[in-house]
Amino acid sequence: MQEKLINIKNEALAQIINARDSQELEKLRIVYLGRSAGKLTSIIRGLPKLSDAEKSVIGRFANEVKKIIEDSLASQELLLRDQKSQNITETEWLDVTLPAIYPPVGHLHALTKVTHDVLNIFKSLGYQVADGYEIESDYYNFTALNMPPDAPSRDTQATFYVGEKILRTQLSGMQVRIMEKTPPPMRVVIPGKVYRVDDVDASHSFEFWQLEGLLIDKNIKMTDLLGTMEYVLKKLYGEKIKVRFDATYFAFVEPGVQAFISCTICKQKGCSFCKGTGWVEIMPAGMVHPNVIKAGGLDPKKWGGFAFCIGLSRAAVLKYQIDDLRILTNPDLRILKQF
Amino acid sequence: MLIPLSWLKDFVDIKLPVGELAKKLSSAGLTVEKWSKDGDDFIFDTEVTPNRPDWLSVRGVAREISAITNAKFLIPNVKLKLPIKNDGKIKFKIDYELCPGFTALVINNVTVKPSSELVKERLKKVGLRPINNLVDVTNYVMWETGNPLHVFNLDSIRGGQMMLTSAKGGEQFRSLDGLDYALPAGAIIIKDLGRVIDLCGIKGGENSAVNAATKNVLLVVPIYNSTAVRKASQTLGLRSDASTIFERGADPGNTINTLLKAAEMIGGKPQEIIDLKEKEFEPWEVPASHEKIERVLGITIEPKKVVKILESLELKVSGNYKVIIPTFRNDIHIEEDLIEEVGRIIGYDNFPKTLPTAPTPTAKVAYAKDYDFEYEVKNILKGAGYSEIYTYSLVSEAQLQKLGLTGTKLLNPISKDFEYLRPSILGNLLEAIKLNQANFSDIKLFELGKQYGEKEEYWLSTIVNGEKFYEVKGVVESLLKQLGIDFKIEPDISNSLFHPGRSAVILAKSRTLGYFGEINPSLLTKFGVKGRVTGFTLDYDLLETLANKSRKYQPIPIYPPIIEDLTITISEKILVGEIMEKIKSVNKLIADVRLISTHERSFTFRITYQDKNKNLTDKDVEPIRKKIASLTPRGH
Repeated sequence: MQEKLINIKNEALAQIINARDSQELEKLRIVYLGRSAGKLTSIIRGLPKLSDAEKSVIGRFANEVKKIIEDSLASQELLLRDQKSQNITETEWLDVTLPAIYPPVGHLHALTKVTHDVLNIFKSLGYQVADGYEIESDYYNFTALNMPPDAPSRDTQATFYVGEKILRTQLSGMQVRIMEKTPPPMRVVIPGKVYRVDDVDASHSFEFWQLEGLLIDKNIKMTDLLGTMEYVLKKLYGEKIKVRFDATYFAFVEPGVQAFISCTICKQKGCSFCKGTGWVEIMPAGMVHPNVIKAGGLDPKKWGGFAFCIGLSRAAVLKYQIDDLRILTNPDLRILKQF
Repeated sequence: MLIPLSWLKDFVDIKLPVGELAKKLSSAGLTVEKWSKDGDDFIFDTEVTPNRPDWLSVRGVAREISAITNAKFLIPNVKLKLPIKNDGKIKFKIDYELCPGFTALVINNVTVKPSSELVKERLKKVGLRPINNLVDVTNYVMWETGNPLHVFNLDSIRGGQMMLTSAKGGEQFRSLDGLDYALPAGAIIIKDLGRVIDLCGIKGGENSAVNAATKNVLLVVPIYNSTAVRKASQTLGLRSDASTIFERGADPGNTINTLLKAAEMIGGKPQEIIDLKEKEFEPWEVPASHEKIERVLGITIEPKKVVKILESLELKVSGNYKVIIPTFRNDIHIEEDLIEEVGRIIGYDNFPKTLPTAPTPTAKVAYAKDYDFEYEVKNILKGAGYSEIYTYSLVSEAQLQKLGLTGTKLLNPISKDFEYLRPSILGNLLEAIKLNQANFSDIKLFELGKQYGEKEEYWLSTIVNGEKFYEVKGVVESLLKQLGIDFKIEPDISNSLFHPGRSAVILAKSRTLGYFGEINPSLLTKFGVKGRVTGFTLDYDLLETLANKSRKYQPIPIYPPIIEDLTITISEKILVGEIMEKIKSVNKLIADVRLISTHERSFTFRITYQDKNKNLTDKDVEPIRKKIASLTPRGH
């Protein structure tokens, strides 16, 4: 009986090793281990007929043989699968250079990207973000900002009128609105669209995007403003750019300052964008004028701070080297897909 | 303003190379836009901020150069000396509100001739055309001193009288260059007997202008009310070099010197100076504390350096500090103005750079807006294949007519193309489709921007070309689900921008959140869009309010669900969505109802029953199934 088992084992192993695919292996499994007529199964089924002494010896051996056949089937199965995976190089070849099938691809606008970048920089400095009205009163847009009705400084901001109201020419009115309703100290930036009566060309538009900033606290210094501006500009345009500051005048700050960065388009060789100067006017700012602090309902003896503005349209143009402001409002997908 | 280097050198020593000087001036606040070589001279082209009338003159710029370069500033003395006396030969009547100062001089026996070569050359360099010695002197001296002058032909003044008053409005006036104007009310004018002879501060009159035959002149150096000049100049759309100075404020303390300088150049027989004013123009005092200067600028500076800087600008300093402000600096009235003078002369490039050291405020600011949410919304649409556009808020009447909407009109639009504040973003989106349809077969666009009706509101609108109702429905539903908003969709015919049979309203918390569907075909024709177009539009402010960012973890069910398919025939015009809602609400054990196939009016739903507490059996499901079947007569 033991010999018969050895023969079955040898025969099975030989056949298993020669099997060429899973179906063949499955057939062999049935031939030897099949539940109804498997060669080994028949023997195991015959065990009860044997004497007790034989029963235990043959029984144990039969189970060993069964285990060997099972293991062999499994390892051959693995081997075949392995071989097959080597073969699929040939059998399942694809031309990987055929064009891809894309998932839907959309694009955020250059202005959204730049705004997001700028906001993140200011958030890292502890600024919150606010939003204002485009249709604004003359009071908040001008008068509250130390620009009374007769101020010549109003002439630099040609204004659209809508009934009794105006389209805001700057976001600075939000300085006063926010001061009125926020307990000091405060740090806030306000992105948004502003309007000026202007013809449209490569570098002008009647609608453009800016970001206004305001910081109100105690003992704020001019050097804090200069440091903040330099930090923000270098974060936005890279460590390598140069930053320069000129004194200037805006009615709602005193002192006033204008930041310039080295032209990113021509690398200071001189181009039409920087009008050949190598420098681009980028960020007007200043210490908030006491009259504006007062208009915001705060005591200028106690509270001070600074305010600044970044031209977001201009920032986008500089960042992506766009040579014409009108690109930003052009909905041509050939443009949009580039961002 | 154009300033020749050679002219500056009349008043200040300049050793710096031109480029460096230009840079220093810009740094101190007098922007030199460019400079150009003119023979062996250089011309600076400056841009003067509205607070500095003194920089609108050669002397003012020279004074600034002396301050920033530590060079001596010297105004050569005028040799001519004349007594001041109102001789009464001309009867003046001055409204001092409009003209706080009026300095004048009669010069007899003048000879009208071409100006000297120097005067002609300098005028040409600053872009003025030499005419004759009389006119040229007024221009030349104004350019040099910053005080505008005017010269009248004395013999043409009728009745020996001059009345300075404001125009009532509508008076006819012919300027010395022969142009006719109807004067705006409030403009400052001088009248002689029955005629307007000067539009003060802006342009002289033809009827009193000097000419080749002029023998006797009246030379005036006036100080006019800035606001009145500015208003008249704006209303007329007429600006002159003089009006630019008057708008910002001419120096009332320098009228006599200006007059003498001009008289000396004109020659002839000057009479006595007439100096009319209601009160003297006194310098004023502004105190400043050293502590505040250092605190606001954030630097340490020697007190004597502060004094040196202020005195280099011709401000008189005593004590710590009382600063006397001369009449030519009408921009300095408060301590902060003096702090700026110190800061700008040191130059901000020479300042250390610091960051505020105070703790970050945590109180929420007023008007706060969540731009992270906006970015998330935009990114969801980007992920769905949409590209973002920014378009103008100002649109044309033609677009509104196509949309069948009305808009808020600007009082002063720049052109017909940009006359109205848009009542809807969809107009611009349709124009964007039209623009792109020649180049792209698959167009998906969105804009998040304001619409303007009774108030301004943010709306989020999208558009795709093609008949894509269910795709767009998928995008809007997916967006709302990702934002955690519960919503309901109902058929709708109220929004005229959408196809009446193929659009729906989105409701959330029983408010209208937006609309989606095919765009009304009648609009497409008007906009020149080919094929069908689908889109949605959402009230973004409401979307932001309703968005629910909180999430609570739900354990994965441990007991298996029972899933079965059920086919129901639904008669025409019965809304399948409503049937699905009804099925879902039959029993809490129904976890999901999904439409998996449709054949004519037969709909097969896959229903998932799930109990999170136990294994479901057919016994549990049987009564629910029956109830679902009873919802429609032919359920099976």
